[in-house]
Amino acid sequence: MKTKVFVFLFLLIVLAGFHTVNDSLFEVPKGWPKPQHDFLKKPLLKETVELGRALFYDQILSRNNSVSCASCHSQYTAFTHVDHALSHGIDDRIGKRNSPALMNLAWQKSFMWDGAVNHIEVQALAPISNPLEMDENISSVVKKLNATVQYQKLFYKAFGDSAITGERTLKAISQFMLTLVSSNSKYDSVMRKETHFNAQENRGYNLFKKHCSSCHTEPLFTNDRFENNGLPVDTSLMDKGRYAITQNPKDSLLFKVPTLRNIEFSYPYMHDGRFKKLSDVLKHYSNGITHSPTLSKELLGPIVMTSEERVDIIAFLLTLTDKTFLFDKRFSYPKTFFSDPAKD
Amino acid sequence: MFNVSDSGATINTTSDLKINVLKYYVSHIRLYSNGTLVAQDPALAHLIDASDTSSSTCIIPVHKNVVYDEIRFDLGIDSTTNVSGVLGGDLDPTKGMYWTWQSGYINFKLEGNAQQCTNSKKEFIFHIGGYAHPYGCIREVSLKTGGASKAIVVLELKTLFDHIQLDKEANIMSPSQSAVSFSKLLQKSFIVKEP
Ligand code: HEC
Ligand code: HEC
Repeated sequence: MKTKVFVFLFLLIVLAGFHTVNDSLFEVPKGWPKPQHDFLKKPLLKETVELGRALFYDQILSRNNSVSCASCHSQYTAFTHVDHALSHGIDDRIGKRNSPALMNLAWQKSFMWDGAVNHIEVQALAPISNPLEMDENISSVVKKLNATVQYQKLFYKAFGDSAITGERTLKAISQFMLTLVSSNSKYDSVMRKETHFNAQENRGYNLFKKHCSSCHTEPLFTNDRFENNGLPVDTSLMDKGRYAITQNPKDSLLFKVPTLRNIEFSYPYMHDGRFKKLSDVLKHYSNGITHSPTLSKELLGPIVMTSEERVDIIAFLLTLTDKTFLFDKRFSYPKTFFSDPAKD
Repeated sequence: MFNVSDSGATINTTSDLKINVLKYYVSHIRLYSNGTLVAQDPALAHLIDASDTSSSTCIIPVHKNVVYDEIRFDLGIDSTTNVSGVLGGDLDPTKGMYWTWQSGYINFKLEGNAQQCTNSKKEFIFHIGGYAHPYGCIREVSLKTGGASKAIVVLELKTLFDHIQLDKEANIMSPSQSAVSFSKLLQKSFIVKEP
């Protein structure tokens, strides 16, 4: 009888009770679908969310400590880039796309305009590494965090020891982003029967349900799919959207259907920020649709809208503004963290 | 048990081929006896890095008296793991084996210089990965063995270089048909040696 390698591996799980599972960090609003994110497998912890919030607002994530996630995703504009069609990154380099508003990410299957990212936990790798955005790499971020006493403390609180790893850093950023739920607009109050639409908003709502909600489906105002909504290709960018990821011709010019919540503040619009105003968007849908082989079937026939009807739809879209969300202190710049002298 | 030393260090003694990076994932190591599974590796994956000899040993716990005649493992990371969010240890993105612009692990990295390369730096870069249809690049490798308690699995880079044409294609850096073909070559480039 030969003797074999005989090794026992022990997995020691210590439940040290160092963290707080806090339900109020994330709640599914009444009547909303089940989130895509698996909160049972990956529950939110208060301390991890706090760490993630600090990281989200910290320029330490960029090569020369000049750009934070919030530089392109600012709370007051529903976490998008104020006023920039194409986002501006490190050294004023101009990106290739418009930064999307960040909210209700827990319901999303994939991320980015083309779905390049398959899980929220790995999303932050993209901007950190993109030479036009933060131009850094995650190993170097981990080194910088390790050299910061205050982060050692935060990692300790969040993970039970002060080991700072790429996994933990990314996980913490994603936990903060998962808490960004916007569900308290006038539209939501109307749905909860706490208030009413005025006559114009009501007309707009009915028109919206007729023309728009197959893609911008309630209550998230997106069907979380990729569609071609008939935008003519910008020949200088030549962005074919989803095609870049799948290389399937059927995906050419398909982009993720964005939510329309807080749309009042997330201008400019579309993946390249080509429209400054909602009235431009409505003009596009009523007489700007460009036909191409992948155009979504809902837009094959023209959407006939009078100019009054377009104004009504816009009045409805403005009811999707959620001031509670835009000014929620839990999501804002963590002043106390950044004023701690141990931070530098 | 995964030995890369002869590939990483000695093959590049010829002046026209130099290897700078050789890293790859090995996962789901299983031992079989007559086609029946008798032991498997509890670890999710191992990162084998030619520049770090300590990375090349994988220990598989087996029950006493187990005999086996075949080693199987997957070269790369499976699709379930690829869509599970961020992971640690050998799978931590700081290991440099995760694409950043698009989700997914790089299963195999080979970088170096060769005279045949037609680009100005005479450089080749192969980042082979992709988990989604039709460009899935994980490959199962199956090797018959004599069943010794220590097996050395060798990646024969010569077999690989005999089959690729560096003058035609010296760069593969995203999931694609070329990456799939490359992964199939890799699958055939492993042999087992028993000491
Ligand atoms: C230079 C500007 C810039 C910076 C800095 C930046 N982003 Fe973004 N963000 C963008 C752009 C542009 C996109 C869309 C990218 C695409 O579709 O390819 C985006 C997309 C996203 C998305 C996907 C949203 C969706 O609905 O799919 C998330 C989440 C996100 N960013 C979070 C972050 C985090 C976290 C950071 C910091 C680690 C960060 N961003 C830093 C510009 C930026
Ligand atoms: C066939 C599906 C589809 C229909 C129907 C549709 N949209 Fe869209 N919508 C999209 C897609 C896809 C985008 C993103 C396109 C891009 O950026 O390339 C988009 C983008 C938008 C944006 C910009 C959002 C942002 O954050 O940049 C607004 C506003 C908008 N749509 C409003 C409407 C309105 C109003 C209607 C009805 C008149 C409508 N949509 C009908 C698919 C659709």
